[in-house]
Amino acid sequence: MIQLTRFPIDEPALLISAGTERCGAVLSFSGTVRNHHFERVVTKLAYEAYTPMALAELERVAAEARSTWPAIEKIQVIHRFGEMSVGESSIFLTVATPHRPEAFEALRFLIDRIKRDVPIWKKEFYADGESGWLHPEEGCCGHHVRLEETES
Amino acid sequence: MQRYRVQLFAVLKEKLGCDFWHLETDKTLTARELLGAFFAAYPDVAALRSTTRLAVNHQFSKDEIPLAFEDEIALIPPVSGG
Repeated sequence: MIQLTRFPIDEPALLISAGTERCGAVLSFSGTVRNHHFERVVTKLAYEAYTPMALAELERVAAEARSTWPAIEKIQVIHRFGEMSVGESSIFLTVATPHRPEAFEALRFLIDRIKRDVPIWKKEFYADGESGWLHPEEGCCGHHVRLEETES
Repeated sequence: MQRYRVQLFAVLKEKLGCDFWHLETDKTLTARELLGAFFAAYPDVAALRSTTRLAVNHQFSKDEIPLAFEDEIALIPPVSGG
């Protein structure tokens, strides 16, 4: 299940539907709006999405995870866009597998690829009244921007 | 003359103040050539040149792919979702 939404993410419902009876490992990841960027106080974020491509990229990343770890029984990915406050989830992922190693590896792969490839952009609003688009190359998360030619 | 219609997002949309960039040309361009033409036209955003990718019909494009005028083309500055 892959979705984009403008609305708050219903995490309890996603946790309930995350597993299957064959799965001994059910992992979740919540990407949460943080209250600071380096030394600056962040009051809220706004995410802009290129929605048709963002959905296609999320589907592609999930398909790549499934082919790399065939043990995966279930993946759920919800990315929110629009404005959100400190403490709210901007993304929620779950992965379920019969045994835990594949679930940990797949979850890490999913969030790292999403941050690198899915066309969604974060704008931060600071307590001093300024705002700015986050530029991953400026330091907090430079590994996002390695541009590799991927075979298709 | 024909026209490429290129969607803009995030920092590029904000800096240019519009949702689309249009390029009139009489020849077919590759992804690399279109990116080059955009950044030549907007030196203010040149810092983003090495990290901006081109998407064609909802997929990242390779550099040497020729672009059709009816393609859905978008400039993808560095993403920061998650």
